[in-house]
Formats: sequence, structure tokens, C-alpha cells
Amino acid sequence: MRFFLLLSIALLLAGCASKPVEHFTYLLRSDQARESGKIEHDSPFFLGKLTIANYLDQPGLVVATGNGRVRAARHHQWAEPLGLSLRRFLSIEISVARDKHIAPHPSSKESVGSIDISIDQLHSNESGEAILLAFWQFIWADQTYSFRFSESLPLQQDGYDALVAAQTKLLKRFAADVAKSLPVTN
Amino acid sequence: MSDLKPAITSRPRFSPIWVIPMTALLVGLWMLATVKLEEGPTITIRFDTAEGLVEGKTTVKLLQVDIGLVVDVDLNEDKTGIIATVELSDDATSLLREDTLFWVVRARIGSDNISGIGTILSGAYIEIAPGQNEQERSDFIGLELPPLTPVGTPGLRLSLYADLGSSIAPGNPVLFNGYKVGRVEAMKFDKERTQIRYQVFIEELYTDLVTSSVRFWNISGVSLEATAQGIEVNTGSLETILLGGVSFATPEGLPEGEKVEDGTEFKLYRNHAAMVEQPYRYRIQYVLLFDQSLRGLVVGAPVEFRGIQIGKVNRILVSEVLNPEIQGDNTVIPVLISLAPGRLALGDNPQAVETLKSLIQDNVSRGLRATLASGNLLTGSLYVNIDFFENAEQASLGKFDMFMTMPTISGGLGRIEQQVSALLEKLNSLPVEQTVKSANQALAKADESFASMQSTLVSLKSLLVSMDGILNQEENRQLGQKLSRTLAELREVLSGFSQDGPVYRTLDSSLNELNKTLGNLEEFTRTLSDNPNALVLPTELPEDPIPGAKP
Repeated sequence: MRFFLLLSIALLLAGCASKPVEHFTYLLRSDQARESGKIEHDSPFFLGKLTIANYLDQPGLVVATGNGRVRAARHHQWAEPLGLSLRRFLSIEISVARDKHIAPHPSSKESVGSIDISIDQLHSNESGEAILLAFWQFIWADQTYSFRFSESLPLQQDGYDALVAAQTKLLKRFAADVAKSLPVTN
Repeated sequence: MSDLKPAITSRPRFSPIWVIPMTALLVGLWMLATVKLEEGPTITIRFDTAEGLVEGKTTVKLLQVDIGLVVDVDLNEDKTGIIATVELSDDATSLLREDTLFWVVRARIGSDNISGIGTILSGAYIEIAPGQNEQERSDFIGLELPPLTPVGTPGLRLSLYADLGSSIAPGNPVLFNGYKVGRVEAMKFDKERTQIRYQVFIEELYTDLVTSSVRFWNISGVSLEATAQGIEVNTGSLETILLGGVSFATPEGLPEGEKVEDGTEFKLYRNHAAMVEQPYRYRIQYVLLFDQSLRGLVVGAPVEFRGIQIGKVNRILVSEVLNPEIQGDNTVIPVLISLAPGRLALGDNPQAVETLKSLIQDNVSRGLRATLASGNLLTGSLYVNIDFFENAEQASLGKFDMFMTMPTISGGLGRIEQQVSALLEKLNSLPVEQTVKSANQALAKADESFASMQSTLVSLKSLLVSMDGILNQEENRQLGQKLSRTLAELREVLSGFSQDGPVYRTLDSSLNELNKTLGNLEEFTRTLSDNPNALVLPTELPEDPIPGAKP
């Protein structure tokens, strides 16, 4: 009798046991940060508002599965909130491209010199490409300048590693375009 | 021997054979009497010429019905015209009145119409217009032209008079708002009044338009008027431009007048502007006696009551100035003015004149006076101003020759002289000495006030010196340094809360952790929602979709 009771408990516990799920987290960082060099700090520009689309404001990387459907991955997620990562990433990339420091946060309440960025799309599509659609604008000399960035990059291979690599490249190009759009200052 | 005796028979006294001639005679007499009884009256008509008149052929017609025949055409006594003898039918006797008109109808081409075309073929005839008069007549003077309006035509006949001749002639239209409602029938020169008088006929349908308030004016030709808005061209119809005409209307501001009767006289204004300028018929005249120079006052100058024109200067009675019978010993200059009651909205009729007279009489005792005022300082032109003057001396209406006089007071420069004089009088009567004395006293008080203020300033200065001493004390001097140090510490504390400060970073990190936890919680609840037994039993979560590269 005791033997059957122990056997039943063992079977029940065995039934509860399941295969552990592996989680992957990805860190979005600029590789330029690893390079040493002098950066000028007298730039009048800084990163202002950085808004990301609602569907991106969650940890998982986003994959489009066709017919307008997207899925945020449960096991492949950003290591930190995307808004924070993007602000740091873009600040460094734009600073290096422009060779002048672009502060990641507003240093004053003035709107002049504020680069406002909006990330509208950042995911992989069903065609095997990573896409990035973003807008930015800034005010300079009493005039507002607005720009749009829309590019896609094919994934080198299947998987999230390739997706993160492609998205990072797209963000670098985007930062370069932002830096190019800024007026030259002394 | 037989006894033969002649048989003696007596012949009848009347032979029957005489019956025949007697009968013939009676018949003849009867015929003669019948002819004589049926024969109408014989009349004579005088014309300037016998053109178109033929003995025994030319007929006399009434409404195209033959009622007589011209039986003889002869020259008149002085050979300056002809006399046509006409035999009329018996029933035409009643047509022969004092005002019966005859004229020859023949083909005529006039400026306004063509008539009598039918007589080119049929020959001229004499037309008769029956008269209304009760007096009978048998010799007539025929008209050379057909009458414009037949006698007895219902309508209104008016008399217009004008001082100046114009292009208006009989036959010209009379217009109301540009529409023909009558015509000018005749014109003549009135030698006594040296006026031209026009006889005007208004058709019966439009007689109601003519009231005592209407005014007539000449609309002949084209009138050019240069105004501030440019050149204004006023014309009537083409007919009135070429031939002339008369128009009438009720001027603005005039009350609706009464109906007029035949023969009513109206003034004919030379144009519309003249009518608008002086539309009133009834006026009252006064003489103003001014004891000052009239230089700048001209005939036609306006007479105003508080800026409203109520009349004009008619004449300066120069000839009466030195007439001792009229003027007496006075040296004043009489000026004749006329006032129109219509301009004061009293109406334009005899009653309004009486009303204005009584108003003036009543108000003179309240200070109503006439004075000369300067119309233009540059040209020096004067006008007559009638107004109330409170300080005017007592006066009343008087008489000058045949006119009433209205009391006057000096105006223009004379008035200014009076005012200056009054001002000087007032200045003289001012208590200057007393005022100066009061002023001196006030100045003395002001001196005292200044001295008081000076002592106050000295006190203030000493107060400031005391404050300076307090501030220079050692304790107070260190107060500023302490305050500065405190502020530096406060800044240091607050810097911990800035974006780069440790407090901000800690807070930011905590919020991120919280955000992450909430995300996990959301995923947990979603899993439970998808598989409620996931809390107890192992659940296979769906694999993430693998982003695929391009093949």
C-alpha cells in the first residue's frame, strides 16, 4: 500500500517536470563607444524627445508574421528598455559621426538645438528583412527642419542574432543621416 | 215775228284755270319754306390763308361727319387774310358757341408729329371743336394750327410763370418722374409782370399728382454740373433734350400738399438745382437795421438759425438809407431778408407764414435777435445769423417803410469788439490787490513748508547714517557670507536630483526594475489566461517565431 502511494507521488512529480526554457537577451550598444578619442563638447545640439511606437515599448524583439500580424518574442528580449538603449546608442553614434558631443538628455528647457526623434517601425518582416522607419526634426535659426528615414536590410541568416545585427546596422545608418542633417556650427 | 231775246248768262267770277297756277305757287312756297326751315346757320370764319379751301367743295367736319360746306372764300377787308363763308346743317346750330374753335386740317409735318396725311388725297377740310360757352356766335377766327387739347377735354390747366425765357414751347411735354402726364399748351409774355407765362394742361388721369407742394422746373437741354464727385450730366428724354419740356415733383421735406384747381399758378424754376435750392413758395420778409459796416454781406447770403438756413438776404435797401421820410434821423443800414417757413418744417402755405410771424413775435421778447456773422474769415463774407442772446437789451418788432423789422445786435467784428470790451470790464472788476495779497500769504506758507521738508531730510540723512553703522558691524557683515554658504549647500543637495545626479539615477533604475517586473507580471497573467492549469501542470509555451533570412 505504501509502495503504491509513493509510486503515485513520484509519477505526479514526474508529470510536473518539464524542459527548462532558454531565454536570450540582447544589448543594444554602439561599438563606437569602445573607441577612444577626443569629442568636442561645445555642440549646441542634444537629444530631445525620443518616442518609440507602442508595439516596440516592450522587452521582446518583434517579428512580423504576415498579413499585418506581429509577435513579440518571449524568449528573445532586449536587455533593457528600448527607449533607454536607443537614446544612448543614438547619442554616441551621432556624436561620433558629427565629431561633436550630442548630449543624450536635454540640458535646458530651450527647444533650440533639440533633436526630437520618433521610431515608428523596428522589426523584421516576412520577406527576411529588418526594417526601420523613423522621423526626426530640430529647430535652428528660427526654422524647423523635419526628416524621414526608411530603410530595410536583409538578414544574413535565420534567427534573432541576425535580426539584432541588422537592426543595429540600420540604427547606425539612421544616426549617420541625423548627423548629416545637422547644420555645421563652429 | 218771233220774239227773240238774247240769253244773258253771267260768267263765273273765278276761273278754274287759276287753280293750277295757284297750286304751283303754293307748292313753290311750301318748298321754299321747307328749304328755309331745313337750312342751317351760315357763319364766317377768318383764316390767314385759303390754302386748301375750295368753294363748294371743302367741307366742315365734326368727328369726321360732314356738318357743313364752304360756300364762299373771299379776301378780308384789309386783304391780310380770308373770310370763308360756311353753311352748316340745321342740327349744327347748337355747336356754335363763343368758344367754338375752327381750324383747317391739312397735311402737316411738325417737330413732334405728322398729321393730316389723309387730306393729301381727299383735300383739306375744316374741323370744328364745339364750345361749352352759352353765348352763341356766328363769326369766328380760325386757328392756324389744331388745338393741342380740345375744348372740354377733362384735365387740369395750370399757369406757370418764369422770369427768364427758355426753349419751352407749346406742345412740349410735361413730365412726372420722366413720364409724360401733360403738355404745354400756350405761352405768352406778361408785360405787366415782365414774366413769361405758360399754359400747361395735365391729363385727367394724373391730376392727383399735382398738389400745392409740387414744383415745376425746366428740363430742356442738357445740364452739366461739376461737383466734388465729378461732373454730373442731367438730361430728360431725347424729346426734352431736343425740344424742351417741363417736369414737376414734390421736393423732399415738403409735406404732401392739397389738391389744386384749374388756373393755379406755379413758379417755373430754371432747372432742378434751382428748385432744390429754393423750393419754397411762401416767404415772410423782414428788414434788419444794422448799425455797423455791411462789408462782406451780399444779396443771396444765407440767413441761418443756429446753422440751419431758413432764408436769404433779398436786398440791401440802399436807396432808403438816405431817405429821411423813411429812415428818419437814423444812420442804420436796412437789409431786407426773406424767411421760408417751409425750411423750419412749418409747411409751405399761408398758414405757415402766419405761424412763423407769431413765433418770431413771441421769441423776440425772449432774446431772439438777428446779427451779422462771419461766413469765411479769408474772404470776409458775412451771413445773417438769427439766434437767442440772453443778455440782449429789451426790444420788439418794429416797422420800416412797408416791412416789419426784427431787432438786431452787433455781430462779426463788432461783436468781438463788444466781447473784448466786456472782458476788459471784467478784468477791471477783478480784486487784483486782494488776490496778490492772498498769493503773498500762500507763498509765505510755502516757505514754511519748505523749511519743514528740509528738517525732515536732515532726519532722514541721520537715519541712513545709523543704518550704515549697523550694517558695518562685524556680525552683520558675516550674515551675507553665511547666506551664500547655505545657498551653495542647497544647490549641492538639489544637484543630486538632476538627470546626472545619483538620486535621479537610482530612481530611474528603480523605475526600470519596476517596469520590468510589471512586464513579467503581464506575461504571467497572459500565460494564465491562455492556460489556466499552467500554475499546476507543466505547459509548453509556444516557441518564438524565427525571423528568416531571404532564401
